Amino acid sequence: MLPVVSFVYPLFYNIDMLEEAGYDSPPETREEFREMAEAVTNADEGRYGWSIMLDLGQPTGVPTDIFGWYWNAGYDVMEDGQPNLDTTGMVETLQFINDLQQDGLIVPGALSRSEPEKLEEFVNERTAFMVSSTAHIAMIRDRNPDLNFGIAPVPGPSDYDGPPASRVVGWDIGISGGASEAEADAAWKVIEYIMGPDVSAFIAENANALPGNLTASPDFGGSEMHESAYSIYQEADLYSPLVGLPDTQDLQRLFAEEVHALFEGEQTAEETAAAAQEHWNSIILGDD
Amino acid sequence: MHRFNRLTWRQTSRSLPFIGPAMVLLLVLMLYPMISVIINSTVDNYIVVDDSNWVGLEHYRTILSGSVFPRAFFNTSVFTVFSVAFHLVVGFIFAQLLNYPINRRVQSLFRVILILPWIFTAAVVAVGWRLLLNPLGIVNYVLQSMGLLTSYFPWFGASETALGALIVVNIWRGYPFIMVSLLAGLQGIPKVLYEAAEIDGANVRQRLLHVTIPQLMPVILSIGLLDAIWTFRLFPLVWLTTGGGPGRSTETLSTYTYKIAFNRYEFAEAAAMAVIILVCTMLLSVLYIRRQRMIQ
Repeated sequence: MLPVVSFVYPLFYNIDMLEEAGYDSPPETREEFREMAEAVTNADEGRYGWSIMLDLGQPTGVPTDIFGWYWNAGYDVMEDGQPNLDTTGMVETLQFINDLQQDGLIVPGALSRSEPEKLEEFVNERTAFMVSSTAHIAMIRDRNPDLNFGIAPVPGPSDYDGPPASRVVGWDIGISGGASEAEADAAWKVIEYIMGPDVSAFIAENANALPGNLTASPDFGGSEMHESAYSIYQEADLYSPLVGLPDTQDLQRLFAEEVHALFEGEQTAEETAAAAQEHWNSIILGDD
Repeated sequence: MHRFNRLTWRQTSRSLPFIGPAMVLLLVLMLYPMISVIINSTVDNYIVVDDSNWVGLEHYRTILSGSVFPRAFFNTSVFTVFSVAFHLVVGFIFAQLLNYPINRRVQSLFRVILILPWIFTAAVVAVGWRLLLNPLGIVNYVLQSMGLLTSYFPWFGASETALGALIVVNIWRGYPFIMVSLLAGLQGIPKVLYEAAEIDGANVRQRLLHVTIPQLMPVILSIGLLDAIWTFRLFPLVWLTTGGGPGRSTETLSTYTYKIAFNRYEFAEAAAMAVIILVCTMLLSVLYIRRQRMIQ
């Protein structure tokens, strides 16, 4: 499968809220992120540092709000076809997120929050940060044209010096396995045309997305937001976890359930990472 | 006896064309799917595999020995018992109020208002209540202004309150049906009973306990059982508000079945779960049917 267009998942930040708290640039490390989240949180006014979504009905918050931080510490959830969750990196990531939750820096209700609710909270300046898809930029502007926001790579730990990383989701195109040779040839011609630098740039410009062809140079009409999304797209290590695995939903949901137990104080970050690893092993590797 | 049987057979054969279409529909739409679910629950998997192998009661063993089933069964039972109990209480109170002889127009207006929750689809109810009970939503705002709450409490997002919040939403959504049924029942109680009770010197409470409730009992039992059957297998409201979470705190038998089928694609195991739910609701149905026979 080839992505016709793609969307990355950077950190969205509310420029006004950060400036009000005395910061003129987005966080570059987890420590800075936490410091800023603390500075902007004012529970009396219903304002918080970060909003995450861990609703079990649609557990897409797992790759967005949790794995995003894990990749930015130099880890991946799968390594050599094996689940890679019971690691120091995961324990530290979970610990970091849980500390934010327990200290009241995350908008309350994370465990039942869905994506539209998270976006509304960002649009209504209830939260200074969220990790989300660049597909939502147009919608955020539409809902609140005055919102002064920017995007930046998700911060990593201060001792991490690898490249930034991002989740990437694409609108993909491929050729069916059942196609005859002649059909496949014809289909390939269409794909070549669509994926060519010019057409790719054209589609990206019109879909407010990032081009599938990395050599394409789309003209975003001077939109700073899309320029920075494109630079993240070109520079970052891109991850699209679990794509193609039939049990994606289940893997994400099982992970989310373990994070629920962590947030509810029923287990430690170490136990959460180990339990998630065990679930994934049993599904992906068939271990009992 | 012999003659009786022959007559019955003749009667039956004559009535067949009349009941035939309904029978065919029942067989095709009810019996066939039911039997196929039962059969499918005894194979390793289907739909997503080319060949299914017979595994007997393996899936039932897996489900019943797992840790999720008892939790889901407990949650479903709590959810059903409280929902039905409060549906009856709230429905009865509103039915009584609607039965008061007041201005007809006002009465109709209240009837329309009070039946509204029943008209909304589950998705609308779920979205509405998610907004109301959002930590930064209006319910918390009101509670905070009244000084009853000091933080933005996530009603659906905390395991200690999620099931309770769900029950409240379901009570809100389900009472109108009970209310309308009880109202019909109330209107069918002969006035002479109240007059006689009044002559005997019965006060309001005594009239309620000794006339209204005994007279309504057949209706209360019937719709209570029907409501229990419906609530027991309720899915959309739970799925769209909590998805079974936080953790497993609002996992019900139906959300668990959905997860087995559409998250894990274990359709045969999901079929086994469906059969277990079927058995539970059938027990309630038997009670309901016996109840109806007694009335007849």
